[in-house]
Order: sequence, then structure tokens, then C-alpha cells
Amino acid sequence: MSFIKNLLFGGVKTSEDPTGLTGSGGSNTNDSNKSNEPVVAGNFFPRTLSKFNGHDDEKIFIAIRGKVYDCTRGRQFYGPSGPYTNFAGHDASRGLALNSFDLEVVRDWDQPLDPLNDLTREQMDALDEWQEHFENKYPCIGTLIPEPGVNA
Amino acid sequence: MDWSFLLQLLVTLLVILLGANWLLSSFLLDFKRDLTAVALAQQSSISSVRNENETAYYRSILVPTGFPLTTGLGLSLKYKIRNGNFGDVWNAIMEISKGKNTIRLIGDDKRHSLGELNGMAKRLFRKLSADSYKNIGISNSIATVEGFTLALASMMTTIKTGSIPHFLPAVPRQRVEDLDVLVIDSWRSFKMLNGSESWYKLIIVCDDPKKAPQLGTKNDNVVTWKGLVDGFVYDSEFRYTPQDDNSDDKKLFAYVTSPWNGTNSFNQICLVSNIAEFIKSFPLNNELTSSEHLSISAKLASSSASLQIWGKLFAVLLHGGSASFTKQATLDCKSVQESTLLFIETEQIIKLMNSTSKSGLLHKIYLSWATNLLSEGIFTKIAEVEPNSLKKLRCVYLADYVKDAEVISTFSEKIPQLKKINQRTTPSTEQLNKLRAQLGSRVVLELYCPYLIMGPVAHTNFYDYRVFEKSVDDSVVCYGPLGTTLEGKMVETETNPLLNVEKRQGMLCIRGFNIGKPTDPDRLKQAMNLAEKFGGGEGWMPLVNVFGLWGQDGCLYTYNQ
Repeated sequence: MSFIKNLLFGGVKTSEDPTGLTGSGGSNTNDSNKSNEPVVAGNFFPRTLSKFNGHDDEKIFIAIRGKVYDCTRGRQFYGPSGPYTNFAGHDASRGLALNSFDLEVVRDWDQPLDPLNDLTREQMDALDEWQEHFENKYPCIGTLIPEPGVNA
Repeated sequence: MDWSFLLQLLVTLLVILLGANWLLSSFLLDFKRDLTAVALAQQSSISSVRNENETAYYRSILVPTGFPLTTGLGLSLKYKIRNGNFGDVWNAIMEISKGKNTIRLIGDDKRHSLGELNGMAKRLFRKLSADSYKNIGISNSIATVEGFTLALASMMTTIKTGSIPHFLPAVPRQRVEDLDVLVIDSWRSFKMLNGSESWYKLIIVCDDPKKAPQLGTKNDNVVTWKGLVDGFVYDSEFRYTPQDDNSDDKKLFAYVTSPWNGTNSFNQICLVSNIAEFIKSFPLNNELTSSEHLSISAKLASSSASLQIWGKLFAVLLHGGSASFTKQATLDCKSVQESTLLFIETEQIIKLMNSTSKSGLLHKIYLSWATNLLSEGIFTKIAEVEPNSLKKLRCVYLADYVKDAEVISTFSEKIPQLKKINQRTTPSTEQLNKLRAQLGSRVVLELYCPYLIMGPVAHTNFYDYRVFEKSVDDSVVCYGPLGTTLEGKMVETETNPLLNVEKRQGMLCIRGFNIGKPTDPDRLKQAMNLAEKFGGGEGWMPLVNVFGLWGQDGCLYTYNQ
């Protein structure tokens, strides 16, 4: 009745409070918005990184040689059904070095971090180039570290 | 009367009202809304990651994360893209207008064609470029023909000879480095120079030469504006060919000194980004056209404050429009009757509306309907106060300022404590809708940080007519999303532990393409230290004492303090 009531007796429609200051409307602690909350940059464990695969969480994070990049805007490449989707939420160093997108080159979150010490000079050069590409294109948002008792 | 009949009548009426309300709310109003509720609830693009002790990065939804901020005019130079500079802008303005469009300036109340103003400016330019002057200090209003043409001439020198206009709040009391030319408004001001005449290679007095005092031989550096422009010819051409190396785009555009004596420099990119930002801010089917007429309050054109007018003015002229400056004393609906756009300070618009408000019952009913429709997102002109005078007006830009520009300008690392008050000087969202209804025009509220940022920091959407509860309006002011040349974040400060970055609250930090750079090395160092401490470096500039929060809608809300 609000529109008709306002038209007949005067008054205006008030919008929901987007600030959350009054407790009405869009509150800051709304559960439905929690998945959209920005992630705090910092240290990531393989386990915490794995959910940012564009599917479980719409953000897409990829680690390369210990650095974590936010590749959300490269969704067409790294998101679900993209050609490099296997890298999303994982350490992609070995895959990029070998130019392979197979699942075998990506370690699961409960395995130790890949030391990459078996890579050849050429493979390391290829990885350097990829890392430079990521560095220029996507923001670095943290570091990948082993989780005590899981990856170490 | 039969009770059952009365009951039936009441039930029928209630059903009709409920049905009408449902039909209107669910279908008809949706078709009439200028902007959907979804669009209003998502006005910014938000980064998916934030650093500790700060919020995510916010930028206008028009320049989403991953895309560049508005940077210049995107002109082509062979296969490359250029940002552009004043030369490109004035060249295009003269080509589009053929010199015929006009600007009405204060003082002589005469419309000056752009060809006439260009002719005068070129005449002045010849004088200013004859000797190798460094900076040209302008202390009088840009709203006068003298101030305007001298500002234009000195802008021409920025790309041709390297002299830079220096907009001053008053005649300098201390010697300003590299200031070779001083422009002053009258012989009275000249007399008050009190020996400082010798600091300058040239003094241009914008007063009647006949009223000149007896000048001695040591005053051979004094000329009058009239003497300089004497013999000018109408000229509808301004030739500019850009350098192949884009070097002109990187040149300085102006120096601006604040009343508290802090000088900042602005590059050409600040100007062109500001112009592009304004052009982009218009929604589809409401773009700038050649029939545009921009009225600017003369108060906004006082020399050093004029930094904020150039973007809007040049954008309108670039589309073949005209402009005028209006005096505060004579500001009424009639004085803006030819205007399609009005740029004015918030306090002045309230005075304007108070002087014209109607009080009849019919008008009150129309006003009530109009504000109701506006709050639903539907624009209407039914309550326009003076339809004959205001029929052309389509948007009013209300300039509002940050709480304490002086504190921001000092780049102090001592962050003040937020003192919230439940009072606001800016019109509330309900009052803004009343203004929209009475003016029959859109109203855009803009937040400015004078002398330091060229153009608005943030502004409300052209179609945003939302009304918030009084408790919200009492606490915060909604300034809409950031301008498309800027991105921002809120940072935590030790003095304000109650502002929680997890709730998107804190002190505002911005970075982008229209921010001035302090010229004084000490101030620059202070600015860099402050940026390092609160913004984490990377080009961020903390706006000290601007406390606020990002709404769920992506808009900037600053606390009333």
C-alpha cells in the first residue's frame, strides 16, 4: 500500500540502508554476502587456496613458485570449463613449466609443496616467462606456504 | 444505510486499492523507473582481495576492475592512442563551434563569442610568449573577460612555450619562485603591492588604463589588459599539431595555490581525464549535445577555486555548447533560463530555492506527488516552480567539499579523531528530491577536494533519487561512486579504532589521474610518507580527516562531522 498511501497522504518511499549503520537493510554481517566479501591478502595454505577455483568460490587464485595471483578476471581461461581450469586454486608452477594442463602436473592440497628441483633449465626459463606474464597481468595477493601437519 | 452494503463498499474499495498498489508497484512503476533497483544497488566494481587493515579497492562500475580508469581523451596518433592536452581540446572546440558559440562573463554582461575570446587570448599569448616568462600568476576571477582570456592565453603557453598558469587565491605576500608575470584585478590592488612589483617581469592590471596612477620609470613592467588586447581580431581558429612523441600530453597544465599557501601542480592528463570523466558520466539518451548551455556560479570561478570548472566547461564547449557565469547576488530562476546544466555550490542552491518556493495548496500536492514518484525512481516535472524559466534545465551539479581541505593539504601524519555529529550542511536525500521536483531537473551531488584534486572525487548517479531514512541521513552523506578517473579504499587508523575495515569503514585513500602533486619538496616528502604509512605507497593518497564507509551499493558515504 505504500505507493498509493504516499500518493494520497503524502510521504516518500525510503530505500534500504546500504551502510548497515542503522541495523536495517543491507547489514554488514549478512550471511548471503559473506561469499562476496573480499579475501584478505597474505599467506595461503594449499588447502585454503584450493577453494578459490572459480567454482566453490567465484574468485580464481593461482600460485606460481610460492606467489599467489588473483586471476579472477581471466575467468575465460582459468574458470570452470576454461582451458586452464585445472590450475585454478592450485600451484600451477609445474604445469606452466612443462606446458602441460593435465591433472597429473597439479598437486592436491594435501600433498607437500612442489620443490620443482627436477625441472630442466629450459623448463625453468619457460616458468620464468609465465611468471613474468602473471606478474604483469594479475595482482599478487599473497604467498603460498605449507600448512603444518598437512604439507610439511 | 444498510451495514452490509457499507461493508461491501469498503471491502471493494480496499480490494481496488490493494490491487492498484500491487499492479503499480509490481509492473507499471518498474517500466517507468530511470534506473533499476539492481543497478542502484551495484554502483561500484569491488576488488576481490583486500590488504589487511584496509578495505577492498572500489571504483565506478563504468570502469570495472581489470579495465583502465578514465585516462585522457583516447585520441589517435597514427597507430597509437594519445591522452590529449589543452591544445587538442581548444583546437577541437574552435573547429566545432567555428567561433560562434558564446560565453557570457561577469562584468560586462555581454555574450562573447568563442572567436572573440580566442582572438583576445591569442593576442595575449603573443605578448606572454614574446619573452621567456616562466609562470603566469592569475589572482582575479576567471568569470571576467580579463581573467578568462588570460587563463586561456596562459593555457596556450603551456603547450607552446612552456609558461604555466599559476592560479593564486590572492596577490602573493611573499615572493613565489618562477612567477614572472602577475595578473591583478585593479589599480587599487596594484597600489597595495607595496614594492613587490620588482618581483615580476610583467604585471598585467585588469583595470581601466585611464585610472592608472602615475607610474615611475621603475614601473615599466606594468601593462594593462586593455592595452594588451587592443587591436585584437575575431579569430575562429586555433591550430595545434601534436608532437609525435606525445611529450605535450605529459606537460604541466597549471599550478594552483590554496588559501593556506600550499601549491600543487596539475598535468595535462588531469585536465583531459577530467573532461572525459564528465562526458562519460551522462547516461545513454542524455548525452551532451550542441544545444547544451552550462551556467557556472561565479563563486566557483574565483582564481584558485576555478580548477573545478575547466573539465565541465571544456566538455560542454567540445560538444558545441555555450556557457555563462552567474553572479551569486543575482542568482534566480530567470538568470538560468537558458541553461541546460547548472554548476553551483550546495549553499547557493538552497538560497535559490528558498527565494522561489511556492506555497499554494496545489503546488504542495504536486510537490508531494513528485517527491513520492522520485523516491520510487521515477522522474517528473509536475512540481517545477517556474516552468518558463527552468524548462531547459536538465541537470544541476551541486558542489560539496570535503570537511577540511586544509588538513588534507598539509599531509600531516597526525590523524584526527572522528567526531560524528547528527547534523548535516549538505541537503538530505529527501531535500535533494525536493530540489529535483522543484527544479524539474536531475540533481547530481558531487564531492570535491579543492586545490588538490581536479574534478569531483565522487558524484551521485544522474538517475539516483533514493531517499534514505532520517537516521542514515543524519549520520552520513551519500556521494555516489567514485569518479571514473579514481579508485579508492578505506584504511584503518589508530585514532579511530571504532571504524572497522571489515565493515568497509575507515579513512578514505584514493589514486588516479586527476590528483595534484605538491611542488614544495617538503610537502611532497610529507605526502609520500603519509601515502607510505596509510596507503601502502603505490600512488595512494590518504585524504586525512575524510572518514566514511562504502555502502553495500558501492557508494561512498562520509560521516557527518
